[in-house]
Amino acid sequence: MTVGMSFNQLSEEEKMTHFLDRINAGEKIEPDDWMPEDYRLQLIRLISMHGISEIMGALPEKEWVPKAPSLHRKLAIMAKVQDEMGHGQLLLRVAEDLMAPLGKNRHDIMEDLFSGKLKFHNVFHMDAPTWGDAGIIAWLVDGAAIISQSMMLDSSYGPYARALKRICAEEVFHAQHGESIILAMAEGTPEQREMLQDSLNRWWESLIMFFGPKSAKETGNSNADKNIMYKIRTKTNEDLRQEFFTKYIPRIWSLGLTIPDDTIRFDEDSQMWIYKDADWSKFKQIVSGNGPQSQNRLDLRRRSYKNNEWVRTALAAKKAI
Amino acid sequence: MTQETLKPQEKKALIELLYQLADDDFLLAFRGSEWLGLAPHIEEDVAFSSISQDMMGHANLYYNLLENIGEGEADRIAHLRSPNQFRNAIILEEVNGPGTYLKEPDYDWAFTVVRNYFYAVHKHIRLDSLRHSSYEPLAEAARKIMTEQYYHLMHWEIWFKQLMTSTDEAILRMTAAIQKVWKDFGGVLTLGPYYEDIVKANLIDDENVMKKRWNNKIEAVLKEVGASYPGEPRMERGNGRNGVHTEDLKQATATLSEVYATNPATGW
Amino acid sequence: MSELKSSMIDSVMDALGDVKDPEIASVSILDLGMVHEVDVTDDKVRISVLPTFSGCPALHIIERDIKKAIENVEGITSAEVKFVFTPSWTTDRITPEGRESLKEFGISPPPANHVMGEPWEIDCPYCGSTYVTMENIFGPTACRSILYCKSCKNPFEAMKPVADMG
Repeated sequence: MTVGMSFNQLSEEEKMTHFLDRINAGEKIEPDDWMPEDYRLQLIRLISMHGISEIMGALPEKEWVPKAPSLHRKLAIMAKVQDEMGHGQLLLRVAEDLMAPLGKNRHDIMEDLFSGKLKFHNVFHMDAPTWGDAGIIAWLVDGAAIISQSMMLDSSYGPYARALKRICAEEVFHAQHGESIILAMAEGTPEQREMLQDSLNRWWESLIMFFGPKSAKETGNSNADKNIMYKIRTKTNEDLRQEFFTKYIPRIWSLGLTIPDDTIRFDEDSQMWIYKDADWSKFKQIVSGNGPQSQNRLDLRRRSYKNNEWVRTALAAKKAI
Repeated sequence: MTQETLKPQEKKALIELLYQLADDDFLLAFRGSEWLGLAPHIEEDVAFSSISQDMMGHANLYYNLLENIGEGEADRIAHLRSPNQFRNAIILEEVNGPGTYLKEPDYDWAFTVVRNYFYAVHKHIRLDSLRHSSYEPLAEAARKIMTEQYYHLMHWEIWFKQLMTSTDEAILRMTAAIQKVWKDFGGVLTLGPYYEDIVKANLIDDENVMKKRWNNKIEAVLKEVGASYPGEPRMERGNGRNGVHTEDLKQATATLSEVYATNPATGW
Repeated sequence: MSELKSSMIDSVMDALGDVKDPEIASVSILDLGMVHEVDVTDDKVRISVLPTFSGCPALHIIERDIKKAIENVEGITSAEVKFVFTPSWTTDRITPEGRESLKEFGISPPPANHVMGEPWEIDCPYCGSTYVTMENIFGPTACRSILYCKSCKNPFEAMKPVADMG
C-alpha cells in the first residue's frame, strides 16, 4: 500500500486480497476492521447459533438440576448450566457487535429464535428422560463440543477466539463432571448400568449428527468449506467426528457399555472409523424445529419472554429517565 | 464452643438452628433453580442461576455441619426427611407461580424479587450475627458465606428499587407481591420453639433484635421508594420452624429426592 | 526445621504448582493463594486448602489433583487434604504471577486491598483501556463478572473482589 493512500480508496477486490493476506498470515480480525460481507454473515450465523445453543442447551439439563441425586451433583450441575448461560451471554455480545452495522440487536436474535429462523444444535431438541441422560449430555455432548470448539481457538476473528479460550477451559471441567456421573453409574447397581446404556442408545445418533454431515452433498450448502477458507474453523465435520470417535469409543468400551452400531470399527488401512451414518433427512427435520422437544423448549422460552415483557418495559423506562 | 464442649441442651438448640438455616437456603435455592432459562433476560438468567448455586452451596455447608454433629449423612438429611421434619419458613417453599418448571410456567417475577430481596436482607442480618456465634464451626461458615451473600443482597436490592420506581404496571405488580409475601414473612424472622435455648447458648442474637433490624431496614427502603410500611410481617399459614408446611413443600421434596430416593445406598 | 523436612516441603510446593484451577488451565492453586498450610511428618503430608467460594463444585477435583501430584513426590506416601474456612480466602491472596496469568486468560484480576461496599476499577485485560462497562456482576462462574471493553470491543471477565468482612 502506498503511503498516504487511505484504505478506503482501495477497490473491493484489493480490500479482499488484503483481508485474505491478513488471515493467512495468522492475524486476528477485530470488530472495526474491514471484512467481506460474506465473512461477517458467516460469523453472525456461527456465533449466534453457538450462543443460542448454549442458552437452549440449559433447558434439557435444567430438567435434572433439582433432581440431581446428591448435594454435590446438584451443585455441579447447577454450576455447569450456569456456566453455559454465561457463555451464551458472552457469545451473543460478540454476535451483537457483528450485527450492529446491519441494524440488528439482541431482540432480533430472540425473535429469530422464536420464529425458527435461528437454529440451535440438534442435541438440544432431544428428550432427556433419565438421570443417565444428564450424565451422557455432560460427558459426551460436552466432549463433542470441546472437540468442535477447540478447533476454533485459532479462529481468525479475535473476539470469538478470545471468548472461546475461557469457554473451552470450562467445558473441559464439565466433561470431567460428566465423566464422574458416568463412572458412578457404571460402577453402580445393574439398574444404574441399564439406565446408562439406555441413555447411550438414545443419544448415539444425535452425537453422530452433532458434527454435521460429511459434505455439502447432504445439506446443499457449504458453510463449513467457506469457514475453512476464512480460517474461522480449521477442520471438516468428518475430521471432528473421527477425532471424537478416537477419543471416546475406547472409553465407552472400557466401561463395558455397548455402542448401538454393530458395524462400528477402526479400519487400520484407512486409519478411519467405519460407522453407520446418521439419517440426515431426520437431522434436517430436527434442526428445523421438528425434534421431539423442539417446540416444548421453545415454548418455555417464548412463554417466559412474553410473561416477563412488563419487566423489560419497566427496565427500559428506568433507562429512559 | 466446639463439638466436644457442647452441653446436651445446647446441642439440641444448635441442631434446630442449623436445620432452619440449611432448609431456608435449600428451598429457596430450589425455587431459584426452577427459574433457570425463564428469567426476564439472559443477564438475569446468568445472575440468578449463580445466586441459586451459591445458596445451594450454603445449604450444603449447613447440612455438613449437621452431619459433623451426628445427624447422619448430609445427603440423607437433605433428601430423605419427610416434609414435617423440615424447618424452613413457609414463604420460602411457595411455588414461583402457576405451572411447573417444565410445563407452562407462568412464574411471577415481582413475587420472586420481593421474596428474594426480603430474604437477602434477613440473611445478611442473620449472618452478621452468626459470625460471632458461640459455635465456632458455624461462625467460620457464616464468615465465608457472608462474602458471597454480599453480592446477592446488592443484586436483589437493585431489582427491588428499580421495579418499585418504574412503570405503573411494575409498581402495581410489586405492591401486590409485597402484600403476598408480607402475610407469611414472619416465618422467616422467627427462631421457632427452641428460640430461648438457641439464644441462651449464644448461638445467634435474640430474634427480636434481628426482627427489629429487618423491620428498620425494610421500612427505610419502602419509604425511599415511596411505599408505605404495612406493619409487622405475619405468619398466616403457620410456623415452618414447627414443622408446619404446605403442599408446595411436598412437591419440592418429591422433586429434589426423585432420583436419590430410588436407591440411597448406591453411589450416584 | 530439619534440612530434610524443608527440602521435602519445597518438593511438595513444587508439585502443588502443577495443580491447576479446574476451570482456568493456566492458573495454579498456589497462584490463587488457595494453599494455607503444608505440613510434612515423615512420609505424610497434610495440606489445608481455602475454597475460593463455598459452593465450589470443583473441590472434589482439586482434592484429587492435589493427591495425585503429591503422591508422586519422592519420599511421600500419602497426602491428606483438608478444606478450611479460616482464614477466609480473599482475592488479595492471588499472587502477582497469578494476576498475570488471569489477564492472559482474558480475566481482569481483582483490585488490591478492596473494601467491600466500595466501587472498584477494572481495566480491559486485552488492551488495558479503562473504557469498560459492567454487563453483569455475575459471570459464568460464581467468582467472576462479565464486562465489555468499549475500546477494543471484546467482552471479557473480571474476578469479583472478595475481602474479609471482619
